Amino acid sequence: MASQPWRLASGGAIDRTRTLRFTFDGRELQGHPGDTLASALLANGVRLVARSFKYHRPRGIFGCGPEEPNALVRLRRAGRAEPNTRSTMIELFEGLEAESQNRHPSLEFDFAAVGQWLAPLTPPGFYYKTFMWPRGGWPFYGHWLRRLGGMGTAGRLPDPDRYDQRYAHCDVLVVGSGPAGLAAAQAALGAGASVMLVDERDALGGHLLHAQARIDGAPASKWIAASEARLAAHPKVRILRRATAFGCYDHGHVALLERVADHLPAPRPNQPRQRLWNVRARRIVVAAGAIERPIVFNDNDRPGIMLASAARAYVNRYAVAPGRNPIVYTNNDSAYAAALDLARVGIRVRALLDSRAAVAPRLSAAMQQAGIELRTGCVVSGVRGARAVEDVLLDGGKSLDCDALFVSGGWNPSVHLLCHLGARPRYDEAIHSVKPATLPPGFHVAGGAAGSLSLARALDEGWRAGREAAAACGCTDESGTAPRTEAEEPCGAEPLWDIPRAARDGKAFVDLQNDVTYRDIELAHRENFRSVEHLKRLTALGMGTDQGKTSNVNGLAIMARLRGEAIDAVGTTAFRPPYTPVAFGALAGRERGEHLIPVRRTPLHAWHLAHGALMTSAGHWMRPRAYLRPGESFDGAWQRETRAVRGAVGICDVSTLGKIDVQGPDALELLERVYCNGLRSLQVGRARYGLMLREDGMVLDDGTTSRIGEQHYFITTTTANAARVLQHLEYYAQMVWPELRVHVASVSDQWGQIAAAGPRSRDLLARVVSRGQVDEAALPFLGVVDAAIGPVPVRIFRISYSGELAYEIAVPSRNTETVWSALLGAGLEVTPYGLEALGTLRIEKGHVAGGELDGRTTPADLGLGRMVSRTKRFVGARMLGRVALADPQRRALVGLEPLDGKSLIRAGAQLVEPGERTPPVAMLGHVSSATYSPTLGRPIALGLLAGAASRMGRTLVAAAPLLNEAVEVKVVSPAFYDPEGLRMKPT
Amino acid sequence: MRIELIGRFGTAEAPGFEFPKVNQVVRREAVSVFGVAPDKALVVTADSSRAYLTEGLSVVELTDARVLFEISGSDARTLLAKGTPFPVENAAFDASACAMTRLAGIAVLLEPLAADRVRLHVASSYAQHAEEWLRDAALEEA
Repeated sequence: MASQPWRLASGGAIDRTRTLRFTFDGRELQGHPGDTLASALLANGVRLVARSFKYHRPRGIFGCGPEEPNALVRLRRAGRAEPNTRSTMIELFEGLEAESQNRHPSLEFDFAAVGQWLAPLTPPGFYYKTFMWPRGGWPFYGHWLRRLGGMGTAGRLPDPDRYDQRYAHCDVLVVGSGPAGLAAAQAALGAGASVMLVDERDALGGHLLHAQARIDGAPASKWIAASEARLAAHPKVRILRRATAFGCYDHGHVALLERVADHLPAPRPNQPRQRLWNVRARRIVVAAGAIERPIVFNDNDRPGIMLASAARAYVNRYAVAPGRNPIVYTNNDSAYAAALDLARVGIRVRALLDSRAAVAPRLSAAMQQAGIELRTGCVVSGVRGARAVEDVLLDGGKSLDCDALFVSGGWNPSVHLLCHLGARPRYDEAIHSVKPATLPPGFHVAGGAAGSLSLARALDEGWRAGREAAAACGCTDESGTAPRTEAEEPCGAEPLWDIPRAARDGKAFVDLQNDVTYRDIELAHRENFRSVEHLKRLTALGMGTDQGKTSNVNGLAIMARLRGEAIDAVGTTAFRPPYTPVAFGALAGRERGEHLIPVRRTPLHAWHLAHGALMTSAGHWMRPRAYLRPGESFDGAWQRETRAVRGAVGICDVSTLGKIDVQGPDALELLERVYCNGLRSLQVGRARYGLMLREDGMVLDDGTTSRIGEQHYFITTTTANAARVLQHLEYYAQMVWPELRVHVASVSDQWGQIAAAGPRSRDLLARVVSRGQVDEAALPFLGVVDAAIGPVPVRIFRISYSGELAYEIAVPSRNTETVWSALLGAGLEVTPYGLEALGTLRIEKGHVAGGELDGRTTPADLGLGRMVSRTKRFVGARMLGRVALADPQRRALVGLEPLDGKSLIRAGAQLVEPGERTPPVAMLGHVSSATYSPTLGRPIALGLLAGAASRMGRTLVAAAPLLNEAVEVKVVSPAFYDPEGLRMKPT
Repeated sequence: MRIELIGRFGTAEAPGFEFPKVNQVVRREAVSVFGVAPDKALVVTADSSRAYLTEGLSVVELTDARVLFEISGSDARTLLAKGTPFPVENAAFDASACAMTRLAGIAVLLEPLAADRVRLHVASSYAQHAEEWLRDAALEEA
């Protein structure tokens, strides 16, 4: 076959001097720069490009833009493969590879097409009604239904491309660069506003790119070029091409997807493939145009049937003949321009069929002059031809042969963006479609999107919207004049909602992408899914990636007819973002892989990595789990570390603890009000363990409060709750008690912190401290001293998390490694220990941590009820007095040991009575923390158990059904190790 | 360089220290004072005498808690606009202003020094994350 046999000999905005090679389903084809994949396929005579969603019917190219419901393809290969891309929006590039999708095994011979013959058995919702037995059968059915139906499948290989994100701000954002958008942008700029103009195409102009029009006395192309040059030259204007505004959100936030490199074979080095823009605009002008509406008749999905405006675009912009013997079928005037453009380039238009009884004399004269037969009062009931249109069947029985049918059922304003904030469009009798009824705050609409279908009105409304938007931003200059064009007749559409009787029993498609037919809507009506929302859910009308661009209004009108009501009375469904699909990569941007969340590193991070630490993430923090020696297993490492702390001394990086500085004359007052335990007796140089409660009486966090000056406190929080506690304190200091003279500041990053724990920890500190004393007299349990280690000033706290004699050393961050190294080099055998040993030590001691501080526990639940002051008011006090919180059946902290002394207990396991296996099993509690205790030589755990006191000593089962594990456990005291606390306070 | 967070408990109690308005910067010789909250200012100084301190102030040292990056070049603000929702490209955001905002998912203080030069104050624990993010985001413009 000759290359591009359907390419017109001249015209179009393509570069004929260069040829691009591409493949479709492995077939090598050619096109030109300026082509889309769709136009290039048409130029090569490829009519069959897809199989439909449900019935696997053959489909061709139907539109020329984002409204395309049929011609979705899988683009590129391997990690770059992307399904469901609209061939009408893909700019052709050298080496492009496209494949059809949802066909088995090939596009030409798709055995799944048998589904269309089984259609009577597969009406909407058939799987809800039929695949009910046996009960467990759905996974099998679901697997096959999903394979046979649907669209493309996502690839499984890693995406090699980069995705960028960007924030931008402007006075006026103009969405769409057609006549209304260009006019709006120039008007807003002329008024002095900063402007952002975005268009999803590679060129500005919108529908003008496809039309033959004159503006300001010159061809539209000249006006577009001049407008673009004027805007682009101005520093207050940013123009984005290949950028789709896909979602509108509150407060002027509009999300855009810029396809930075999708028109290239591959992005250049370091060039992002796509960029997600988050734009904050003070005013937004939606000039997104309108989408031509299909007409519903039998087999209206056959390849060769196309929107008339699309046919016009292929002729005028891409110089492609979408048919050689086409028929145009319409209910309005706009299709006449398409027919005339086809005739102008030499395409023999077989006939123009108009459903209206009469048309304006100027139209009939134009048809006559162009040699096009005009038939008025003519309704199409269907077409003949399986893989391409061969004949058009007229209501009444006659037929006309043709090779293409271009349809225009009127125009639907692109109201999608305006609806994202909740506004519902309303049916307008004047345009026989829905249009914006009310606008969200800050929005303006102009041109086709407003339901204004003439060029003159688009220009006028665009200019006015731009001026109004700018004025709302305080920009009221008056430079420039509105563009002008010749007066036009209105579109003159007449509704064509009545479906020909012959089409009602066949496949007359309303939603081409979701394979929804007239009969499906009829069935929904019969089954009482009469609400448009129910209709949508039952049939999928207007759902998914298409969002009803071509289908919604026809669907609403048909339902209204069936209900015997006005279209306005049935309402509309919601259009939701995104307007067109957005790649996950663009949404993720740089937040992927190891940068999924920001990574926080302690001052000792490099040391940990250099010394065999197995790191783990704890929230944003990276922490060492254990330091593996050569040949050592993970379990061996942390158990060694645990034993070292119990037997000698270990040091641990606890820099991740939250640290908060509290200063001011009312610092104590604030702390008294937020801690449930009393602090008034706390002396300078002393520390105290404390609990902070939420307003509902549940424990927010625990930590220590140290008084380091008369009006100066230093508090620590758990790693996980550092930000929450700071927020809690700031909230109360600033919002609830602003009269308190107190300042709160996070110093978590200012101080590194090192725990030194073990019976020899005092010896260790004594060896390294160059200023200050650490003996019992100078630094007793819960004492605080300022000291120095070598040249580094430090603050030493005598506090213990491990249950051993222990200290925590706060060090200015930059000197943390110096102090850490000094401790290791002090001449004792000092063992660095990680998170795993740290956790084991505290479980052995029965100290609570994140597993127990889960937001559902009170101080009493944790065995800390005695800490709660009865003599003061504090946050959470009132709710702590609820009767229910004193219920002895509340879950409270217990220790758990395996009966056999060796079975590991799983954290998260449910505690149940032995022998209870048949659901529903009463869950008495759960395991909150678990470990193997190297000190005790057996597994141990902490749990929260209902009726803990009465169940002490009882045997329960710790069941983890998903793992098929069940361990018999004995309920014991949570203090497994040194319950008297003698080791923390050796004499 | 020393970084301190200065606070006052009402204007009457610290009359000798000039607190900038929030998001404004006062620069005097070796001292830059950033208005970061009502009655709170961040002082960045090479003046070891700390002569600016007066009675009635709360002082929290944050020298070790902050890492400063300086981004310069014609695309400096474009680079930052990739990660911060703050309108950093606005010409009004000049050397007299600052902004407590977010960049790359973390809290930062933006300090514009010129149209093509912006300093970034980052919590030291996030410094490596910020550097990696900046380097990666800058690749396109490099």
